Amino acid sequence: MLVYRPLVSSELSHDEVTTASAGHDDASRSWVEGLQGSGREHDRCVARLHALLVRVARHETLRRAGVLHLRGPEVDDIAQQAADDALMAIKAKVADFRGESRFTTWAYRFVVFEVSTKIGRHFWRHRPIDLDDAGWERLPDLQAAAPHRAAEERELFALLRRAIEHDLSDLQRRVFVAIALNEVPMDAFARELGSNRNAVYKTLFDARRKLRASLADAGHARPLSSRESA
Amino acid sequence: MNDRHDLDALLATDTTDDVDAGCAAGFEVLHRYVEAELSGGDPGRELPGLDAHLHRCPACREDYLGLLSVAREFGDAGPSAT
Repeated sequence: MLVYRPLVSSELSHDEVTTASAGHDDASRSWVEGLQGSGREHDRCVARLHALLVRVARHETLRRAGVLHLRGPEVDDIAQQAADDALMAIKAKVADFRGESRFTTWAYRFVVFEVSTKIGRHFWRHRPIDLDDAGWERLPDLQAAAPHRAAEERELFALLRRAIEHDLSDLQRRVFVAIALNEVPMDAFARELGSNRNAVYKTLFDARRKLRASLADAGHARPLSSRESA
Repeated sequence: MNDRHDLDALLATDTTDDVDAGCAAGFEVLHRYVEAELSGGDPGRELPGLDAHLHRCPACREDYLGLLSVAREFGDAGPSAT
Protein backbone atom coordinates (compact mmCIF):
# COMPACT_ATOMS: atom_id res chain seq x y z
CA MET A 1 0.00 0.00 0.00
CA LEU A 2 1.30 3.40 -0.91
CA VAL A 3 1.45 5.74 1.99
CA TYR A 4 2.38 9.38 2.10
CA ARG A 5 4.92 9.85 4.81
CA PRO A 6 6.33 13.33 5.16
CA LEU A 7 9.80 13.17 6.61
CA VAL A 8 11.02 15.12 9.55
CA SER A 9 14.57 16.34 9.46
CA SER A 10 15.77 13.53 11.70
CA GLU A 11 14.43 10.99 9.22
CA LEU A 12 16.16 12.29 6.14
CA SER A 13 18.44 9.82 4.44
CA HIS A 14 22.05 9.53 5.45
CA ASP A 15 23.13 11.84 2.68
CA GLU A 16 20.46 14.31 3.70
CA VAL A 17 21.63 14.46 7.29
CA THR A 18 24.41 16.94 7.31
CA THR A 19 26.81 17.32 10.11
CA ALA A 20 27.68 20.88 10.96
CA SER A 21 29.85 22.27 8.30
CA ALA A 22 33.55 22.67 8.89
CA GLY A 23 33.05 26.39 9.09
CA HIS A 24 31.09 29.27 7.74
CA ASP A 25 32.44 31.45 5.01
CA ASP A 26 33.49 34.89 6.17
CA ALA A 27 30.31 36.67 5.10
CA SER A 28 28.12 34.04 6.73
CA ARG A 29 30.12 34.21 9.93
CA SER A 30 29.77 37.98 9.97
CA TRP A 31 26.02 37.77 9.56
CA VAL A 32 25.65 35.25 12.36
CA GLU A 33 27.95 37.11 14.73
CA GLY A 34 26.18 40.37 14.01
CA LEU A 35 22.74 38.91 14.59
CA GLN A 36 23.77 37.12 17.75
CA GLY A 37 25.72 40.08 19.08
CA SER A 38 24.47 43.14 20.87
CA GLY A 39 24.72 46.89 20.85
CA ARG A 40 25.24 49.10 17.84
CA GLU A 41 26.90 46.39 15.74
CA HIS A 42 23.89 44.17 16.21
CA ASP A 43 21.51 46.98 15.34
CA ARG A 44 23.54 47.82 12.27
CA CYS A 45 23.59 44.20 11.15
CA VAL A 46 19.83 43.85 11.60
CA ALA A 47 19.23 47.04 9.62
CA ARG A 48 21.49 45.88 6.80
CA LEU A 49 19.87 42.48 6.71
CA HIS A 50 16.41 43.99 6.61
CA ALA A 51 17.38 46.28 3.73
CA LEU A 52 18.74 43.27 1.87
CA LEU A 53 15.63 41.21 2.59
CA VAL A 54 13.43 43.97 1.19
CA ARG A 55 15.41 43.90 -2.06
CA VAL A 56 15.23 40.11 -2.17
CA ALA A 57 11.50 40.13 -1.43
CA ARG A 58 10.86 42.71 -4.13
CA HIS A 59 12.85 40.64 -6.64
CA GLU A 60 10.88 37.52 -5.74
CA THR A 61 7.53 39.32 -5.73
CA LEU A 62 8.17 40.71 -9.19
CA ARG A 63 9.22 37.25 -10.40
CA ARG A 64 5.84 35.91 -9.33
CA ALA A 65 3.77 38.99 -10.08
CA GLY A 66 3.22 38.48 -13.79
CA VAL A 67 0.10 36.35 -13.82
CA LEU A 68 -1.47 38.35 -11.02
CA HIS A 69 -0.89 41.74 -12.66
CA LEU A 70 0.25 43.22 -9.38
CA ARG A 71 0.79 46.96 -9.40
CA GLY A 72 3.78 48.78 -7.98
CA PRO A 73 2.24 49.64 -4.61
CA GLU A 74 1.05 46.06 -4.18
CA VAL A 75 4.49 44.71 -5.02
CA ASP A 76 6.09 47.07 -2.54
CA ASP A 77 3.56 46.21 0.13
CA ILE A 78 4.04 42.47 -0.30
CA ALA A 79 7.81 42.85 -0.35
CA GLN A 80 7.87 44.97 2.78
CA GLN A 81 5.62 42.62 4.72
CA ALA A 82 7.51 39.56 3.54
CA ALA A 83 10.84 41.10 4.52
CA ASP A 84 9.52 42.12 7.95
CA ASP A 85 8.19 38.65 8.71
CA ALA A 86 11.25 36.92 7.26
CA LEU A 87 13.51 39.03 9.44
CA MET A 88 11.61 37.96 12.54
CA ALA A 89 11.91 34.29 11.55
CA ILE A 90 15.61 34.64 10.78
CA LYS A 91 16.36 36.33 14.10
CA ALA A 92 14.44 33.62 15.93
CA LYS A 93 16.20 30.79 14.11
CA VAL A 94 19.70 32.09 13.53
CA ALA A 95 21.05 29.71 16.17
CA ASP A 96 19.87 26.84 13.95
CA PHE A 97 22.09 27.94 11.09
CA ARG A 98 24.77 25.26 10.75
CA GLY A 99 26.77 26.53 7.85
CA GLU A 100 25.34 24.00 5.39
CA SER A 101 25.08 26.79 2.84
CA ARG A 102 25.84 30.45 2.66
CA PHE A 103 23.93 32.31 5.34
CA THR A 104 22.14 34.32 2.70
CA THR A 105 20.76 31.22 0.94
CA TRP A 106 19.59 29.86 4.28
CA ALA A 107 17.95 33.19 5.16
CA TYR A 108 16.37 33.86 1.77
CA ARG A 109 14.25 30.72 2.17
CA PHE A 110 12.18 32.63 4.69
CA VAL A 111 11.68 35.54 2.30
CA VAL A 112 10.63 33.30 -0.56
CA PHE A 113 8.19 31.46 1.67
CA GLU A 114 6.71 34.69 3.02
CA VAL A 115 6.31 36.12 -0.47
CA SER A 116 4.52 32.97 -1.57
CA THR A 117 2.17 33.13 1.38
CA LYS A 118 1.40 36.82 1.00
CA ILE A 119 0.93 36.66 -2.74
CA GLY A 120 -1.69 34.00 -2.11
CA ARG A 121 -3.89 36.68 -0.59
CA HIS A 122 -3.88 38.57 -3.89
CA PHE A 123 -4.60 35.54 -6.06
CA TRP A 124 -8.35 35.45 -5.74
CA ARG A 125 -8.73 39.10 -6.56
CA HIS A 126 -7.01 38.68 -9.90
CA ARG A 127 -8.01 35.16 -10.87
CA PRO A 128 -11.42 34.43 -9.36
CA ILE A 129 -12.20 30.76 -9.64
CA ASP A 130 -15.35 29.10 -8.43
CA LEU A 131 -13.99 26.38 -6.19
CA ASP A 132 -17.30 24.55 -6.34
CA ASP A 133 -17.22 24.47 -10.10
CA ALA A 134 -16.67 21.00 -11.55
CA GLY A 135 -13.50 22.14 -13.24
CA TRP A 136 -12.49 18.56 -13.87
CA GLU A 137 -14.87 18.65 -16.79
CA ARG A 138 -12.07 20.46 -18.57
CA LEU A 139 -10.29 17.15 -18.88
CA PRO A 140 -11.50 16.61 -22.44
CA ASP A 141 -9.50 19.73 -23.26
CA LEU A 142 -6.44 17.88 -22.14
CA GLN A 143 -7.24 15.17 -24.58
CA ALA A 144 -7.82 17.71 -27.34
CA ALA A 145 -4.42 19.18 -26.59
CA ALA A 146 -2.83 15.88 -27.52
CA PRO A 147 -4.44 14.94 -30.82
CA HIS A 148 -1.91 12.23 -31.52
CA ARG A 149 -3.27 10.21 -28.68
CA ALA A 150 -5.50 7.39 -29.72
CA ALA A 151 -8.61 5.66 -28.46
CA GLU A 152 -6.84 4.22 -25.47
CA GLU A 153 -5.99 7.70 -24.27
CA ARG A 154 -9.57 8.84 -24.73
CA GLU A 155 -10.71 5.92 -22.62
CA LEU A 156 -8.08 6.79 -20.07
CA PHE A 157 -9.32 10.34 -19.69
CA ALA A 158 -12.90 9.12 -19.46
CA LEU A 159 -11.84 6.76 -16.67
CA LEU A 160 -10.02 9.57 -14.95
CA ARG A 161 -13.03 11.83 -15.10
CA ARG A 162 -15.18 9.13 -13.54
CA ALA A 163 -12.56 8.48 -10.88
CA ILE A 164 -12.35 12.17 -10.01
CA GLU A 165 -16.11 12.33 -9.74
CA HIS A 166 -16.77 9.12 -7.85
CA ASP A 167 -13.60 7.95 -6.10
CA LEU A 168 -12.29 11.10 -4.47
CA SER A 169 -13.65 12.63 -1.29
CA ASP A 170 -15.12 16.11 -1.62
CA LEU A 171 -11.98 17.67 -0.22
CA GLN A 172 -9.69 15.57 -2.41
CA ARG A 173 -11.73 16.53 -5.47
CA ARG A 174 -11.61 20.23 -4.61
CA VAL A 175 -7.88 20.11 -4.02
CA PHE A 176 -7.11 18.11 -7.17
CA VAL A 177 -9.31 20.33 -9.34
CA ALA A 178 -7.89 23.53 -7.92
CA ILE A 179 -4.21 22.61 -7.75
CA ALA A 180 -3.67 20.05 -10.50
CA LEU A 181 -6.22 21.19 -13.06
CA ASN A 182 -6.70 24.91 -12.46
CA GLU A 183 -3.18 25.61 -11.23
CA VAL A 184 -4.34 27.55 -8.21
CA PRO A 185 -1.28 28.28 -6.06
CA MET A 186 -1.26 25.96 -3.08
CA ASP A 187 -0.74 28.75 -0.57
CA ALA A 188 -3.69 30.66 -1.98
CA PHE A 189 -5.87 27.59 -1.84
CA ALA A 190 -4.68 26.69 1.64
CA ARG A 191 -5.62 30.16 2.78
CA GLU A 192 -9.08 29.75 1.25
CA LEU A 193 -9.50 26.48 3.16
CA GLY A 194 -8.10 27.90 6.39
CA SER A 195 -5.42 25.25 6.12
CA ASN A 196 -1.72 25.18 5.33
CA ARG A 197 0.48 24.12 2.45
CA ASN A 198 1.56 20.88 4.07
CA ALA A 199 -2.00 19.72 4.68
CA VAL A 200 -3.13 20.67 1.17
CA TYR A 201 -0.19 18.80 -0.33
CA LYS A 202 -1.03 15.73 1.74
CA THR A 203 -4.59 15.84 0.37
CA LEU A 204 -3.30 16.27 -3.19
CA PHE A 205 -0.91 13.37 -2.65
CA ASP A 206 -3.76 11.14 -1.45
CA ALA A 207 -6.00 12.22 -4.33
CA ARG A 208 -3.35 11.38 -6.90
CA ARG A 209 -2.70 8.03 -5.25
CA LYS A 210 -6.39 7.21 -5.31
CA LEU A 211 -6.71 8.20 -8.97
CA ARG A 212 -3.69 6.12 -9.93
CA ALA A 213 -5.22 3.19 -8.10
CA SER A 214 -8.54 3.70 -9.88
CA LEU A 215 -6.81 3.69 -13.26
CA ALA A 216 -4.81 0.63 -12.29
CA ASP A 217 -7.96 -1.21 -11.20
CA ALA A 218 -9.37 -0.46 -14.64
CA GLY A 219 -6.29 -1.94 -16.27
CA HIS A 220 -4.46 1.30 -16.93
CA ALA A 221 -1.60 1.24 -14.49
CA ARG A 222 0.64 4.27 -14.65
CA PRO A 223 4.35 3.67 -14.42
CA LEU A 224 4.82 4.82 -10.84
CA SER A 225 8.15 3.88 -9.42
CA SER A 226 8.20 5.95 -6.25
CA ARG A 227 8.25 3.90 -3.09
CA GLU A 228 5.98 6.28 -1.19
CA SER A 229 6.04 3.65 1.50
CA ALA A 230 5.81 3.86 5.23
CA MET B 1 7.99 20.66 -15.61
CA ASN B 2 4.26 20.44 -14.91
CA ASP B 3 2.81 20.18 -18.37
CA ARG B 4 -0.86 20.41 -17.55
CA HIS B 5 -1.67 18.44 -20.63
CA ASP B 6 0.34 15.50 -19.42
CA LEU B 7 -1.54 12.84 -17.52
CA ASP B 8 1.62 11.63 -15.83
CA ALA B 9 2.24 15.13 -14.52
CA LEU B 10 -1.36 15.42 -13.31
CA LEU B 11 -1.07 12.18 -11.38
CA ALA B 12 2.59 12.64 -10.41
CA THR B 13 3.67 9.34 -11.86
CA ASP B 14 7.22 10.50 -12.07
CA THR B 15 10.12 8.15 -12.27
CA THR B 16 11.96 9.15 -9.14
CA ASP B 17 12.61 6.31 -6.83
CA ASP B 18 12.60 8.07 -3.54
CA VAL B 19 10.33 8.90 -0.69
CA ASP B 20 8.63 12.26 -1.01
CA ALA B 21 10.00 14.42 1.82
CA GLY B 22 6.89 16.60 2.05
CA CYS B 23 6.72 20.38 2.29
CA ALA B 24 7.92 21.03 5.84
CA ALA B 25 10.95 18.73 5.81
CA GLY B 26 11.78 19.87 2.31
CA PHE B 27 11.87 23.49 3.43
CA GLU B 28 14.46 22.56 6.06
CA VAL B 29 16.97 21.51 3.42
CA LEU B 30 15.94 23.67 0.47
CA HIS B 31 18.95 25.97 0.94
CA ARG B 32 21.28 22.97 0.67
CA TYR B 33 19.58 21.82 -2.53
CA VAL B 34 19.94 25.25 -4.11
CA GLU B 35 23.50 25.67 -2.95
CA ALA B 36 24.44 22.27 -4.35
CA GLU B 37 22.96 23.27 -7.68
CA LEU B 38 24.73 26.61 -7.74
CA SER B 39 28.06 24.98 -6.97
CA GLY B 40 27.67 22.49 -9.82
CA GLY B 41 26.83 19.55 -7.60
CA ASP B 42 24.07 17.01 -7.98
CA PRO B 43 21.33 18.09 -5.58
CA GLY B 44 19.04 15.31 -6.73
CA ARG B 45 21.54 12.73 -5.58
CA GLU B 46 22.42 14.57 -2.40
CA LEU B 47 18.82 15.21 -1.40
CA PRO B 48 16.65 12.64 -3.17
CA GLY B 49 13.68 13.12 -0.84
CA LEU B 50 13.48 16.81 -1.62
CA ASP B 51 14.18 16.16 -5.28
CA ALA B 52 11.15 13.85 -5.46
CA HIS B 53 9.03 16.40 -3.66
CA LEU B 54 10.01 19.24 -5.97
CA HIS B 55 8.81 17.18 -8.92
CA ARG B 56 5.38 16.86 -7.35
CA CYS B 57 4.65 19.94 -5.28
CA PRO B 58 4.06 23.07 -7.36
CA ALA B 59 4.34 25.39 -4.36
CA CYS B 60 7.69 24.08 -3.18
CA ARG B 61 8.87 23.94 -6.78
CA GLU B 62 8.09 27.64 -7.10
CA ASP B 63 9.92 28.35 -3.84
CA TYR B 64 12.91 26.44 -5.20
CA LEU B 65 12.92 28.51 -8.39
CA GLY B 66 12.62 31.69 -6.36
CA LEU B 67 15.42 30.77 -3.98
CA LEU B 68 17.63 29.77 -6.86
CA SER B 69 17.04 33.15 -8.47
CA VAL B 70 17.67 35.29 -5.39
CA ALA B 71 20.67 33.21 -4.29
CA ARG B 72 22.20 33.88 -7.70
CA GLU B 73 21.34 37.56 -7.58
CA PHE B 74 22.02 38.42 -3.94
CA GLY B 75 23.92 35.41 -2.61
CA ASP B 76 27.26 37.04 -1.96
CA ALA B 77 25.95 39.90 0.13
CA GLY B 78 27.65 40.41 3.46
CA PRO B 79 26.62 42.55 6.40
CA SER B 80 29.03 45.28 5.43
CA ALA B 81 28.44 45.18 1.70
CA THR B 82 24.73 45.71 1.27
